[in-house]
Amino acid sequence: MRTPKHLKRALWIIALLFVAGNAVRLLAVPESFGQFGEFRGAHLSEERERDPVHRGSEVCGECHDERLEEKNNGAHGPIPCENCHFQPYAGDETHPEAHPEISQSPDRSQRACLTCHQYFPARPQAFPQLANFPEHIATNGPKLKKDDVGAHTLCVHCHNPHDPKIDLGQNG
Amino acid sequence: MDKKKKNRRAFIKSAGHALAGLLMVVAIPKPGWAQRIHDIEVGEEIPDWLDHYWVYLIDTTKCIGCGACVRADKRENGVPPMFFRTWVERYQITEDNHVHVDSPDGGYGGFLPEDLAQLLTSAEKDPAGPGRGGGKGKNKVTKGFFVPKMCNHCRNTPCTQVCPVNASYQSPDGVVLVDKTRCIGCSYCVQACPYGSRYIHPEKHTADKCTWCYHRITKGLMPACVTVCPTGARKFGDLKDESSEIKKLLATQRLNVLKPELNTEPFCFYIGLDQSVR
Ligand code: HEC
Ligand code: HEC
Ligand code: HEC
Ligand code: HEC
Repeated sequence: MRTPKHLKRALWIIALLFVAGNAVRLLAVPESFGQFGEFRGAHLSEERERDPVHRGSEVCGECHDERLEEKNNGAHGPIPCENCHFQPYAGDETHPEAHPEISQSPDRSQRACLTCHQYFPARPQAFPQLANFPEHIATNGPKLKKDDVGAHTLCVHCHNPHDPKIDLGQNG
Repeated sequence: MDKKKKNRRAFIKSAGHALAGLLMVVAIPKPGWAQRIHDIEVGEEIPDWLDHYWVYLIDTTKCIGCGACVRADKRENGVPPMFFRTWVERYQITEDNHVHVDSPDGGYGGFLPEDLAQLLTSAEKDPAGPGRGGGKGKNKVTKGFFVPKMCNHCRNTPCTQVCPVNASYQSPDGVVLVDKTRCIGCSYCVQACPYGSRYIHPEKHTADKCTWCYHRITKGLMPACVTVCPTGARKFGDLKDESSEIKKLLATQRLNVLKPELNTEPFCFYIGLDQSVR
């Protein structure tokens, strides 16, 4: 008996689907798909390839070692240099040309300090903060026993940003 | 008799054909992803991402809302303005039990009041309003805190499930990532995320989100937001590292996650999360 025509046709269609389906799969599914799961495995290495931007205080400390030590021993120890000097160091050896942004960046304004130290009711109460700046100067200025207290309007006039805690016992 | 035999032979023959056809369908090679992660032997070919399982911990009782993490994240990952991979929300509950939530520019510049210059010269003791000194009367802030937010890197991820091209996935070490070469920018995942932590990049037109700084953590560094946090409110670590600080904290602290009722199983835990936080 001959194979019925409709069966043959069905077989052809199945074979065609098999070939076409696999061709589409080959073209559409990227190479490393499925290596670790339902995703393109190579992306994992691609994602980790990028260089870190924030290098931490130690990178600055390679040249500014005294400053780093001063900071680490002070109340601002946990704050990386990049927080206040804003531009992370690019890792270039040529310097200071390589980090003009860093050299110019320290924001000396009160605003820079107050992002952390302005009093808010939402801030943890244990954190040292200023509720009222004029009052802060009025009460603390005289303690420094300097003559020109009125001219001291920036925090960095009285506080060393790298070691901000003022030990009155020593200063006064 | 003859006819019967013929019928049987025909039947066997066609059944054979059908079986062959069926076999052909079944014989289509099993897709590669059927091979699951745990089937792969840890050995020379497989990199160290099976040795880690990352977890994030946020201590809201320590956050001072300075926004250093938001700024660091933008620098580290080139996040465009007005889009955020991480942001900080301020919650203030006033005397009349109203919950005030704000997050000016995602907390990018901290939460300083707009009229700061004026405040710096005025000796007024308690400027009214919950945004500043604390308010008066029924506007008095009785409770306040900052809540940093970001991708929760859920175990039961609503966002990867809806991706039509498998561009978004969970890495073997527990980080939810987006393959930008495959993403078609359909933004299903942006809609699916109950935490609002994804966005469509305005230039690349692909989905973008926090990667826990995958390029840093796989090199032994902490995510950028963790390194810059001045008070240690943000913590990150490896669950597979028995001696890690994070393991001790997770074991001893009182934890909560955002929207636990959604069963997304976030791996970003919070200490001191108030019930008013959504
Ligand atoms: C390769 C060595 C090197 C590294 C690394 C380095 N610096 Fe410098 N930096 C210098 C030198 C040299 C100067 C110029 C010194 C001077 O003018 O007194 C300078 C100047 C500066 C200045 C300006 C000083 C002034 O008096 O105006 C700042 C601010 C500064 N660096 C911050 C940083 C920070 C923050 C980092 C880390 C992100 C860093 N530097 C990393 C070498 C370095
Ligand atoms: C709390 C914020 C803060 C941190 C953290 C910080 N700086 Fe500074 N830095 C400042 C400010 C503000 C100034 C400007 C001081 C001034 O003009 O009186 C400054 C000035 C400097 C200068 C210029 C020299 C000077 O005294 O005028 C150098 C160099 C410097 N910083 C290096 C560093 C390095 C290196 C680190 C990390 C170890 C660091 N800073 C961390 C805020 C900071
Ligand atoms: C990134 C946030 C941040 C910035 C910006 C910042 N600080 Fe601080 N500051 C801190 C932290 C954190 C501490 C440690 C608080 C503690 O010991 O609990 C601290 C401590 C201090 C202290 C010591 C308080 C005490 O009694 O222990 C002073 C003073 C201070 N900062 C002044 C400044 C000044 C001035 C500036 C601006 C140059 C500044 N801070 C900028 C976070 C910051
Ligand atoms: C006129 C000098 C002067 C200026 C300007 C000044 N401070 Fe102070 N500040 C002091 C002195 C002195 C102390 C030490 C007070 C004490 O120990 O009793 C102090 C203490 C602090 C403390 C410790 C907590 C406290 O209130 O006792 C913080 C925080 C602080 N200052 C932040 C700032 C910030 C932020 C600015 C800028 C907005 C600033 N200070 C400007 C002199 C000054």
